[in-house]
Amino acid sequence: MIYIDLPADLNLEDDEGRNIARLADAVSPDAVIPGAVLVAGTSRAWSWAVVNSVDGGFVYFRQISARDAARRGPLVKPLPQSA
Amino acid sequence: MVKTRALRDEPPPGPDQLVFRGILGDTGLDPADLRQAAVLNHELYGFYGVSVWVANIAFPRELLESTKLVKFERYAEFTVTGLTGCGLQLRATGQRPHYDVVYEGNDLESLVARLAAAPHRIADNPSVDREEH
Repeated sequence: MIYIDLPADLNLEDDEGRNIARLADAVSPDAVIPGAVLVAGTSRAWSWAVVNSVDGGFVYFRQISARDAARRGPLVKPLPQSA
Repeated sequence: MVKTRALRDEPPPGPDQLVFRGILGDTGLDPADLRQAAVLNHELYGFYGVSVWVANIAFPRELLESTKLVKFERYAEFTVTGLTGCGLQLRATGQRPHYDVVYEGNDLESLVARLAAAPHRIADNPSVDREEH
């Protein structure tokens, strides 16, 4: 099962080619800051992403590869741990 | 406060050009997903619109499958004629080949109903990138 940090429609792009989502929809809104690495999308269409900016209640992000995500650092929120 | 959406000054796409939208969930072109997309666009830009990609010589299907649609296992395929025949319009927004499907009068439910009912087929994306989590 994919753990989505930021629900998003990856069809939507802004005028700079960035994807957009609502900050309020994030699992951990406080952790969604510029430079944060997270998983954005839906369970059937998701991507690693890096937050570009947060403005007016919206998150602007760019899709990145898994390799790039690993290089950039930890996730916004650790994956749930089993008991 | 809504932002001004950049509109590209270019000729409208031809009637036979293909229009693609990545499928978000398990159920094909889900009206709930379309509604949610249109509402978010309204919050951002002040009009109800649903993001799509229009194929052309510079952006053929295979290129879109491996770029803009690369994270989607499946996508909906329309034609321009199929959309306009349902009373929908294509607005050239953002960067090529992004468009918004809109409905005259900016009526949310009419947009969703017409887009969901527009002739389309669901295609598998052979170039989907299933990266590991």
